[in-house]
Amino acid sequence: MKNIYIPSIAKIVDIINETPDTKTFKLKIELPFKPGQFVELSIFGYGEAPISISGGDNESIDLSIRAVGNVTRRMHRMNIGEYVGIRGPFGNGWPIEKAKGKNLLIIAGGIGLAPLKPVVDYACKNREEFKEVTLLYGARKPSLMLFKYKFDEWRRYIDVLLTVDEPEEGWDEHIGVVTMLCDKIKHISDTITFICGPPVMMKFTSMRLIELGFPPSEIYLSLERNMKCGIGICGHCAVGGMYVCRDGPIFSLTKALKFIEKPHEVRGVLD
Amino acid sequence: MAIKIEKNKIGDFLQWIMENYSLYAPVREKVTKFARIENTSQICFLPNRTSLSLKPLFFPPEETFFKWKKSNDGYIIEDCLNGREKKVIFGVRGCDVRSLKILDMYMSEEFSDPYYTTRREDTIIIGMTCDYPEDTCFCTAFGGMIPDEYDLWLTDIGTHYFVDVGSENGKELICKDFFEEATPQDEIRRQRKIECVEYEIEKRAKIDLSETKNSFQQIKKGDNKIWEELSEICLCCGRCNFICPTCHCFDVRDITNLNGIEGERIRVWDSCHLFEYAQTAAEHFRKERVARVKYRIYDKFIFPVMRYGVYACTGCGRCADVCPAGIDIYEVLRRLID
Repeated sequence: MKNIYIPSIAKIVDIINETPDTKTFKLKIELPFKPGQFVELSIFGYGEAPISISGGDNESIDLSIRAVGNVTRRMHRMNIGEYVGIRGPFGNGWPIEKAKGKNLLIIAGGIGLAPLKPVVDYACKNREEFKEVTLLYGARKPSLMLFKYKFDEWRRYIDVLLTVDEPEEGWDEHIGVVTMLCDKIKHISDTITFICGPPVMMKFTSMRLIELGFPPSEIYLSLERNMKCGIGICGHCAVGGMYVCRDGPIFSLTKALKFIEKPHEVRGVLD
Repeated sequence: MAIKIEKNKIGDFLQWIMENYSLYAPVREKVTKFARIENTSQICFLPNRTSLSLKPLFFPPEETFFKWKKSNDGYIIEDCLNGREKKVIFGVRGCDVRSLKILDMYMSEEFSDPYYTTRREDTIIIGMTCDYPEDTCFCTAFGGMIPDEYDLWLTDIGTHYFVDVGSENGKELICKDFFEEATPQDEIRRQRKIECVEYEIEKRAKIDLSETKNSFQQIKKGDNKIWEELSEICLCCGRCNFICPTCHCFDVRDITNLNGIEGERIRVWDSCHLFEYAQTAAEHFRKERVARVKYRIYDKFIFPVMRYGVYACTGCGRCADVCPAGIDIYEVLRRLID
C-alpha cells in the first residue's frame, strides 16, 4: 500500500498572475478530484501547506495560491519547469449532487473563489442540471479579484454579481460588502448555497442568509484550518470533535453552528 | 486452565522470550520507561507504572518520514518507513494497554498512519497488576487495573505470579517448562490482590464516569468558571500533552542539509496547549489561553466520546505528575461532574 505521507512529484507547467499577491500554478499530475477538495503542497526544504484545487483536467491540476505563509511565499518564487510535491486530494468536496435540480447559489470572498471555481466551471458546463445559478463574488478591490478573465465566459451561462469595497477607475459593478449582494438574490426557496471566504465574511453572509429565510441545512461552508497531515491524525485542524481535513473542509451551516461551545468558544466557524 | 509461574523462573522465561522475539520492558535511565532489552539484568521490576508510557515505542517524539534529494528531473524520495518487528512487551500496566487501544483508534480510523501501524503490528503484551498505586492514579474510573484485551497478565501472589492467558498469542508463550498449574487458593489470592490495590486507588480518587458518556453535555452547561480559573494557573507549556499516553498530535517539518539539495521531512510531537497550534497563515483559531485549556479537556472527555464512544484518558495520572502548575486532571473532572 502506498505510504500516505509520501508526496508525488509534479512539474509546474504554467503560471498565471491573478492579483499582486495571488498566482495560479498549473501542475502536471494525474489527480482525479472533486470540486472543493484540497491537496498538501510540498516545497522540499520549506514544508507543506494545504491548498484548494481551483481547476484541472485529466493530466493537470490548478492551485491558486496567495503568498501569506512560508510555503506560499516560496511558491511565488518558483518558475515554470520546477518541481513540487503533492499529496491528496483530501477532504469531502462540495455536495454538488444535492444541488442538482435545484437553484445553486455560490458566494465567494477574495481568495475564497479558488475552491469554488471548479463548481462554477461544472455549473457552466452542465447548466441543464440546475435551475437558477448565481455567483456572488466580493473582493477588497477590483485588482484583487481572481479569475477575471473567466467572468465573461461564466456570464454566458450563469448570473454573476460582483462587488468591491474600494472601487478603482473603470469599475461599473457593485460597491460594498458581499453580504449586501445577498439582498439581490431572486431565488430563496429550493436553493443550495456554497460559501467560501474569510471567517468574518462567512459569518456575516450566513447570518444574512438565515435572515432572508435560507435554511441552515442547505448552506455549506468551506473552512480553513492548519491542516498538517490531511488525514485526521495530526490534530491541528480539529474543531468541535470534527477534523476539518477529513470530515470537511465543507460543512453544512447546521453542523458548523454546533462547533460553537459557549462561553469560551472552542472556536467554531462563526467566531 | 489456571496457571502460575514461580518468581525465580521469570528471568529464564524472559531469556527464552528474548531468543525468539525482541523484548521490551521497563528500565531506569534517569526516568523509568520501556526500552529494548539486550540483557535481562537491565529490566526494572516496578511496583506500578513507568514514568513514560508505551507511546514513544510506537510513536517516537521525532521521526523521519522520508529523505529527499534534488535530481535533474525533479526529486528522488527515499521512504523511511520502518520494518516490522515481532516483539513482546513485558510489564505493561492496565492504563497503558488501554492507551494503546485509544492510539490505535486515532491512528487508523479511516486512513492509517503507516509508521505507527507497522510498529504496532506483531506486538505481544505481557501485562502486570500494580502492587500499589501512584498518588495520581485513577484507572478505576476507566475500568480498573485489568484491561479487556491482553496476551498474558501477571499478578503477584507471593512466591509466584498468577498468569491469565488472554489470547492465542499469549498461549504460544506458555509452551515451555516455566509454568505450573495454579490452585483455587492462588486464584483467590489473585482476586484479593487486585481488589486491595483498586481499593487503595479509590481511597484517594473515586469517580463514576459510566453515566456521563451520554450526558457529558452537562459540563457545557455547568461550572464554566473552572475554565477561567484553570487558564490563570496553567502555563500552557504542553508537558501534559507530551507525557499523555493518548495525545497523538504532531507537527510536520522540513530539514535541509547545508548543501541545499537534500534533506528530510520529519514529524515531531505537538501540543494543543501551545500558542501556534491552531494558527494558520491568515488566522488564529485558539488565541486565548482559556480556549486552549478548555480544548484539551474537551478533547479527552467529550470529542472522543462523540466520535468513538470512548474517553481518551486512562486515568494514569502522569499529566498530574508532571504539571508545573499542579493541575490534577482528576480534580478537574471532579469539578466538572459534581
